[in-house]
Amino acid sequence: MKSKRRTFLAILLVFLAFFLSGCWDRVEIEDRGYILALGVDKYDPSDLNKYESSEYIDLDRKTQKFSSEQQKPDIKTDQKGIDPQTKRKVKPPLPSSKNEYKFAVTVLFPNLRTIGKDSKPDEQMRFLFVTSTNNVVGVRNYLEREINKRLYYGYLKVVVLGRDLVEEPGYVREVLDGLNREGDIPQNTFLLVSETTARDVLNTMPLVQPVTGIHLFEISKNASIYGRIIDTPLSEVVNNFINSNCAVISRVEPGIETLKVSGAAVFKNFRFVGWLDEKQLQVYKLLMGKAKHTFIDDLKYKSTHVPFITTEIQTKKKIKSEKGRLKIVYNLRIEGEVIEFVFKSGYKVLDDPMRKYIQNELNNIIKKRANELIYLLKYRYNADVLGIGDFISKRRAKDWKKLKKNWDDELKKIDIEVIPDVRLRRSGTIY
Amino acid sequence: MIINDNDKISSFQCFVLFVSVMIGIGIMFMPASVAKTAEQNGWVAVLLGGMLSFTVFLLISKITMSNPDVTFIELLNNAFGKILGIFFSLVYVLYFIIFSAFETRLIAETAKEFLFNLTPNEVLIITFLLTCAYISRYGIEVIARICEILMPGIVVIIVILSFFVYQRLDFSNLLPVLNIPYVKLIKGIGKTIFSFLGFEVFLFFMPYIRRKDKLIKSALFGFLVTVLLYEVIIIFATADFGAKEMQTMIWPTLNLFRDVTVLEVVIERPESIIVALWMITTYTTEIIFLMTTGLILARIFNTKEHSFFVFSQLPLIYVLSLIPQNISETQKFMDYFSYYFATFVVLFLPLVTYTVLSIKKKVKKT
Repeated sequence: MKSKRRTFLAILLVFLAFFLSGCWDRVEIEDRGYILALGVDKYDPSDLNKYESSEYIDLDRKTQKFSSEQQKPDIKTDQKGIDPQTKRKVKPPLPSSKNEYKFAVTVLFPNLRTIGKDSKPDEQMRFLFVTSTNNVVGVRNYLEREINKRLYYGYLKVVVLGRDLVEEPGYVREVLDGLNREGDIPQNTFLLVSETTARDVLNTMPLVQPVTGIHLFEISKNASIYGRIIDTPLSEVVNNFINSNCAVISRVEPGIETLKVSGAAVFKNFRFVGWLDEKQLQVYKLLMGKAKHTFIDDLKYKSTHVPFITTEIQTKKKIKSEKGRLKIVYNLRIEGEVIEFVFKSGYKVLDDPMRKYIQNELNNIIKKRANELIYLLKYRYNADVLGIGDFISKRRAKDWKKLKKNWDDELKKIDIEVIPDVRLRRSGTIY
Repeated sequence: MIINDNDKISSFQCFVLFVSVMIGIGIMFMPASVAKTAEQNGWVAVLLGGMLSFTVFLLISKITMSNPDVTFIELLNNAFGKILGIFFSLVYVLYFIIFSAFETRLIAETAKEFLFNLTPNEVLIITFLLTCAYISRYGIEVIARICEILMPGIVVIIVILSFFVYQRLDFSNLLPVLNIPYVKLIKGIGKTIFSFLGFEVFLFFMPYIRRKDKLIKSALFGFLVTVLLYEVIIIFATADFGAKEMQTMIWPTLNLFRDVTVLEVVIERPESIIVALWMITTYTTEIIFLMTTGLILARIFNTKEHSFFVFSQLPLIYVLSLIPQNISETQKFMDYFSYYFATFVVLFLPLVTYTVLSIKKKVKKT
């Protein structure tokens, strides 16, 4: 009996060992290509010609970085647009006789070997690939034909949408669904809209951080601290589109050796309707309660600018009904400090006529800017990116039932009042 | 069948068993299915579902307490006679086998989606079942001790991860409270039932419990911990995603914990940890089910050991777990299972048994 039991256990152990011998789908870390940035453009054959012109290739060569001993300015790019020095492929595939493709997807991933100890100085830091496809996320299957790495979306930092792409609501929806459905893609990936094409953005090698994905990610991450940028993670954009069909996605401007994140694109019904500039975005962040700090430098006293840095911001939304109409009241309580004035001017910034003046003027500035923004959003873009519908549906569920059928028109009728309350607390170490 | 004294469980072990058997794979998608009917009021549905399950448990305990030294199998035999009694006992066996099959299929689906994309479903299922069966061959006390070790760790880790989720929540997503028709809320309660099921194993554990008077107390604490954990998860999920977005998700709980970033580098993408944790909770549920089935079969065939029966049911569970085409069909079957089969087995059959028994006693008295 005992021996039978032992045989049984032995068989069981062998059987288990057979199955528990490790994951079937393990991939060594060197074999993975961690995609850090994904750029999605509308596939446009005429636009692609631009990348074959000698002018563009020259420009592209200027933006290449080499270490000082490796500097070889007389590099000739071959006809296919591939630079023999860096093997960077800047040219997307040529259009075929049937241009059926929808997207031109740019994939960027860093060279892991440059991080290691035995890296050579001439090795390039990142790889960039452009492919034309009909599906965005599935592009890695096409790329794995030409790359000896297993591409992995798990550390995706930014997704850049091209300017042409966002004009087409159908394409935006396809991209969003792909990003939202793919389990590997982190929900805190930042979405950005490029001022030109996404390819331009990813092609740029910013000076300080040459891996564009990390560069954009770190800038967007700082957005929660500084006032001029907005961070738009995928989860939030998806949530906004589900709740109100509108969303704000921050904008990126490609330059020669810099990438600037500033302003934002406004979407309505998955279509790009217009930009918000930096100043409008500051107020937008104030109203959304997203701003932790902001910097207002429009205030002028005589011929001197008085820059104001906020240290604490509280945003409170209230809903009132006045004469059968709904009114949304934003109470902004802003504390901050004046960081510059005129040396030996005789004015005491913290004392009363001056303090009152600064506070009043700042209140007026914020109010004026807020009203401009609200007018823009209500009448010109007619996009509910402030989440007013969502707010009403939460606080006044009964009113919302009547309003939601005709929300685009009803939005115009809703009064929005912004009451800023600026308090000047500090002025550095002198009066 | 003689139950020796070292095969009895203390009241703390009872509490641990309650928590381990109730927290299973159900919570992985429960927030989404509740949100489909109860929208942002899912947490109310969970609370009510927990209270409902506890009431049902009180009924069950009342019935089994009428003769605490025997299991429910003997009560069935007494009430319906030998043949019908065995038939109903086999219904319980079938119930637990189907339940195990659901758990197995779902854990395989989760693991395939988030951990092992290329490993075949069959391999995942076989490894999981064999690991469960290995421990289920032992007695109830060993299993209770295993759960004692595993359960607190899981609860603590989930609570710790919740702290890191907390910073990105927007609790205004829980508004407005209770503005939906009550029919929808009741449907929402129905969706939570599967996540609470499992406590019915105590129909068969009565003789193994050392302090029977303290059973209700440990059950109360067991339900409290379970409901609290579920509440934390469903409130956090609703606050994070909003009810509308959550309806579109398959694994809201996993998505909730997936993008936790602790101090940038310490933990990034903890989804493998979460899936592994849930494998352990499902593992504890599954071993208890396998053992219960073994116990019932041992009682029916009047054998000393139940370990043989543990293995004999595995092929059936394996085949059953591969029947549904996909996750949505699995959820559909689960709904039917918890609405009809579970109501019959957990509520209806014990009640009928109790009525028949009390009538029979009256007949004997007169």
